[in-house]
Amino acid sequence: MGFLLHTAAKDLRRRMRDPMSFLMWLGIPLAIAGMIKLAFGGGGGSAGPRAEVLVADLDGSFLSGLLLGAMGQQQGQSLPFEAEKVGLEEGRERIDDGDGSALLIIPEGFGEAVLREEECTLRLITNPAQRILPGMVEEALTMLVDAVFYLHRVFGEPIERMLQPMPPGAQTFPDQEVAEISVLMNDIMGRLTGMLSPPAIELVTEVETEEEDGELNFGLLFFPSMLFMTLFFLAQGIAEDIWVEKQGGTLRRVLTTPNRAGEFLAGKLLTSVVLIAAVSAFGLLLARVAFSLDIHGMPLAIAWCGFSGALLTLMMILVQLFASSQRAGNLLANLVMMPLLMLGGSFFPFEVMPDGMAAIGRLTPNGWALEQLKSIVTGAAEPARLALAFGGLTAVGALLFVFSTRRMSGAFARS
Amino acid sequence: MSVIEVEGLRKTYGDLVAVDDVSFRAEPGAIFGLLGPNGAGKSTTIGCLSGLLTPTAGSVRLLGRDVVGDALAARASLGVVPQELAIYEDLSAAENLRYWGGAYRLRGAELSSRVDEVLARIGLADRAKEPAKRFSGGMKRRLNFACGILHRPKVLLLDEPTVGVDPQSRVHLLDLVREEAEAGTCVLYTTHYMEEAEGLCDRLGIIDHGRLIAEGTLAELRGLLGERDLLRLAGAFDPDAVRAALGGELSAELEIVQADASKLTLAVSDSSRHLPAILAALGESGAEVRETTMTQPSLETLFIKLTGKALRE
Repeated sequence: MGFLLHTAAKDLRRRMRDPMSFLMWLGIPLAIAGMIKLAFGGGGGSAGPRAEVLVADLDGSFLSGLLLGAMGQQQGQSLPFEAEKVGLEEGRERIDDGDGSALLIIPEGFGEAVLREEECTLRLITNPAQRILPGMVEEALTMLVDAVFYLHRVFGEPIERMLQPMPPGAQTFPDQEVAEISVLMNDIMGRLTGMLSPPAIELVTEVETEEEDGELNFGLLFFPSMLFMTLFFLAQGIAEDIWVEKQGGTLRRVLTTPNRAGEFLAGKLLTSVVLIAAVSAFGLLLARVAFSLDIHGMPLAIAWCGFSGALLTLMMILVQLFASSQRAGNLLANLVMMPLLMLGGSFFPFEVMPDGMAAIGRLTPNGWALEQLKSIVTGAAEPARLALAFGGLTAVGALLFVFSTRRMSGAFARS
Repeated sequence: MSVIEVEGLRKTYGDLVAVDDVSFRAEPGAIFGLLGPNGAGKSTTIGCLSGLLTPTAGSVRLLGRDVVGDALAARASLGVVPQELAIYEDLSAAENLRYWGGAYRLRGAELSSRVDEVLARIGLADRAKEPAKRFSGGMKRRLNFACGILHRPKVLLLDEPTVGVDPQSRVHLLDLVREEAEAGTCVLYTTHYMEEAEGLCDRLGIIDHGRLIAEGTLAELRGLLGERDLLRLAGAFDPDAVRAALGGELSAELEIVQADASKLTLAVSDSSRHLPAILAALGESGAEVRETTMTQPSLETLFIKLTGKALRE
């Protein structure tokens, strides 16, 4: 135990002598995060990314107008797109040219079909060059179409009566008809007021809160990913040190001292835990202060990062131990690390990945650990599952530790 | 009681025999030199003694403890100064010493006072806080040495510690080795520098192709050679004709160490007196002598006599 702590203290001292590489480990993920944020337009406290939707209204009915109006009213507000009315041909040409995120075609007879409660289809042609924005448009339009449908379900009868042709020779609706429609609508409103008014206010408030906090969504989406990318870089940096020890002759010298090789390796892992926990604590505090993220279970999150970071370190050490040279070790480590970062939700969060890829990514060691971290910081972690996760991590860690110690004190040190 | 006991040590790597049936002993306060060319098996022997390598056969005991069966206890009495620099370049001299001292269970005030003492001995007290990477090669060598003696080991293994060291630092290092031995430490010193071994070691083992071919004090080893000079001739020779030509009245004065088509090595008593007769006999045998080198008796001549080649060949 004494030699373990002694080794950890020595390695921490060495790390402090090399602040540049430490800053680099922190800086690379921050730079990548910045670039991704710029690419998605999520920075600077502005609203989230917005899509441009071209709308070809072939129906020209009251209801298609209602749908268009709803889209128009939402411009600059909660819906993530701006609608522009175009002709069908112009719309198709512009989408073919990559201008716009999607083309919505409201077919002829749309209003009639809705009023008669018949099936009708709105066509949304998406821009193949864009991946995420058209998806957002699709989601938002689904909600909007549902809203129009329910509007019709509630006010269907008065709307239908309003759309009836006027009696022959009449310039306006008969007073009796207008009065009946008014009474009918008043009656419906009277019945719904008790249910709709308070929720309507609530709904508007909720939407506005979400809209003002576009930063929060971006942060929650990307912050754990960025943190785990940093941890992976840190783990890799610490793992590389095994080659410095070998080439400097210090590893062989350690093996001639009256200490077990495992104590030496454990000392390196303790260094890794301390550094990773410190970086995690810094990152989580930064997220809380600078991005106003609501981080739950801070100590638990730090412990998880330290623990899983040590396992990543061990994994990367094992990779280095099987390389024939330091250069080969770095190459091999990058071959392992980069795909894991890509798949494991560090470059792109699982939420924006295709479902299949996200499912695979969640099975990678870092992807799995990232999901656990997300559940901790969002307060969704179940104690039993978390205990199981810590247990699993310990078991795998023990196995990797035994392999690594044998390899390090055997063929690696003697070659 | 011997502090180093090596019995029938053998180490193989597949078909390659690196060390074969090596046995020797060394006492407290003695400097035992293991002499041999590069690749002779010196470092492998050191590796087996330090526990880095597991012997294929035979045994190694340090202060009576087996380095394989009782490894940690055996290593507690051991200090190792490896051939390569084994220090942390980003740490200061004092931090390096504290780390390696701590690795041998030195702690607190004892560690601090020992670090100060050793820094003064190696002449780095005034640069104790400087990172080792700023040191010259010789200073790094001294620090490398100091890391191996900080815990006052009973057995000190030095694997060619003066390779690549400037003459001044070499003298300093050799003085430090002598001081350790005078303090009662048993030193095993490997080198391929004859003059170093002659000036430093009490006993010597000559190793070649993994086998210990001679062992004894310097006087004992010189006795193996006699007082004969070594005469080395280069040119064109017929080995059988040479043996016949030198087999007459000259045979009492010389011994043929090695004879092949281009080289002839002879151990000759009073070589300057017998040289004309030898050259004449060789001329009669049809040999063509182009170069003649005469060497006074030394470890070098012994090594050539034992192995048929110079140490640095």
